[in-house]
Amino acid sequence: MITIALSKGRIYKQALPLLSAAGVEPVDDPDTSRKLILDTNQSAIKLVVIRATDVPTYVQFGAADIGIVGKDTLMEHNGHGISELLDLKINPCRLSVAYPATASNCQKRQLKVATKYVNIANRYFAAQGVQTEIIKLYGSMELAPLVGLADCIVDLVETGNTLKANNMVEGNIIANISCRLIANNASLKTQHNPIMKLVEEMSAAVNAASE
Amino acid sequence: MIDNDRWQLPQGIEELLPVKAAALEALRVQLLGSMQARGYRLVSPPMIEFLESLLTGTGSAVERATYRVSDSETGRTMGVRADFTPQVARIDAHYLTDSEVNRLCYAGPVVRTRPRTPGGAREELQLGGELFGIADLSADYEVIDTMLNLFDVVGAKDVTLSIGHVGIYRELVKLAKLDEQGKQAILATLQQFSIPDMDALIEREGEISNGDLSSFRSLMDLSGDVSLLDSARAVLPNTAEIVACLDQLTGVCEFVTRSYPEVNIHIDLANVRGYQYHTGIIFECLVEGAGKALANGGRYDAIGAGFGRSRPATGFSADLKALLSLQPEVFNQAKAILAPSEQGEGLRSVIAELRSSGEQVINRLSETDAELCDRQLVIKKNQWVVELLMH
Repeated sequence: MITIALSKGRIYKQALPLLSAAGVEPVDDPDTSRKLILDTNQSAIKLVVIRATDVPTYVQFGAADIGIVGKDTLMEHNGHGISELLDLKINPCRLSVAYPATASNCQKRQLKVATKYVNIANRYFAAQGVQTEIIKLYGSMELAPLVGLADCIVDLVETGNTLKANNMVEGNIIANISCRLIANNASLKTQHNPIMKLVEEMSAAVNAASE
Repeated sequence: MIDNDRWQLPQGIEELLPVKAAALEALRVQLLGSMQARGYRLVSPPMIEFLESLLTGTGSAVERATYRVSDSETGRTMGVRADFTPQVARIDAHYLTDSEVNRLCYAGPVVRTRPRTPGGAREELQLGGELFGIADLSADYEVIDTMLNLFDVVGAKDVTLSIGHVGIYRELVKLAKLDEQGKQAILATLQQFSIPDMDALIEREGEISNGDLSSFRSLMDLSGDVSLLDSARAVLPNTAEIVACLDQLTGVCEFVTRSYPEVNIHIDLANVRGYQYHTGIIFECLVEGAGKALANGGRYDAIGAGFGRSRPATGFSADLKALLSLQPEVFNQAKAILAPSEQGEGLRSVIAELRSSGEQVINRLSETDAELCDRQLVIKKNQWVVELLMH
């Protein structure tokens, strides 16, 4: 039995063709079904549809054997016991530092940073030798510097349009982000063959899509 | 709502209640017994000792996991053990110097500042065995045999043994001529096991190495069944050191296939767990559905040097509570004998006899005592007899 964890919405929709390439078709639709565990056409494979930030936790504890999750969520979770097997190239974007265009730069040695990625921001600025006060927000990061709550933000940037609209500029890129296929380390050993079969078939589909 | 929280334990600290505590103790005795039957002698190192000896030869992970307290007597810092191995290595190197080979076993609590996994336990009951003094594979065989035997004793099904060798990683680091920063980057990527990150690292390989990093990427694909050892011979650099490591792995696989044909063998050459103190074959034991390794170990030949006697060494440890969870759950069964609380000489000797024959006899002090009993002592024709107790 293999349980695959992934989040509702955009990731789910874009992951479906990849799962399908690996021969996995969900029987229920998460948008209409109230079930949290979805059956698939393969009796030995189930899907659990959960919040994106919970995917690494499920996989880490072995509650799910594999998962599909953004690299940003994975970096923020920063847990042991998870293997990252494949870049699914879904939702490509950047995790970047951004600051108001009016500010000279984010070059101060002490910064107030607004972000939902508290752990990533902490690690990144510590490595740069910058002392920070991290302010955890849950949305609309761009607002924080405009109202004086923070000097800069750490957030996902896709087109940069939201930043531009709020008169902000993108600074250093912390990481290139896309969705990753992850696996529980223990499951990867105890159920190596069925998991690797899924990985190989999804990998072929990812390569075909990017050509 | 309960208006005080004095009953509350810290996160990751657990106490066992009657039924489970008894089951755990029985398992501890049983598993230690099975190791003692192989000549592993029980040692009981202290829970707390000077930090320097507690951290000798261990990696930074153990150092961060160790609670410290100041010793008002000496002003030195003491640590609460987070791992038994350095303590047992100290005992081997310092006290048991007469014998060429020492087999030692232990069971007791270890405490960590942070659980190994979020939400995991900070206090574990560690049980393990260490074998000192033998440098060749016969010791690795014996230690793996001893560990797998514990899983047999517990009655575990679908056991997987994952085997790796830190020598391969060390040799590749040497060949790649990595600078310190490059070493850290490769190690972190292997530890987190991120194939996409490794690919990204190799793309900018010129920045961190003069050598070839592709072997590290190959390592990450070298995970699977025993046949991978042949692929590894074809893919990895053909140096004497790597060939020797692969030969050792082949030897272990053959041994396990012979001795435990029902155990699945998994080869994992990218495993760099504990590479800071491991020096050879490393292994983990897994059971499907557990979500984590239940026992692990490997060779650590260098650790004794810090205690003045460098010794070849290998060993393993397991989390006793995790092993307990592999057994069917035991339920509270009423199986004691209820005795009247007023006891004359005759009754006292009957009770003493029953107890020494292994029966549980409870003095009736309250009504609830009867709930633990399925039989009772009653007097019939001037004789104390045991009869069924109807609830």
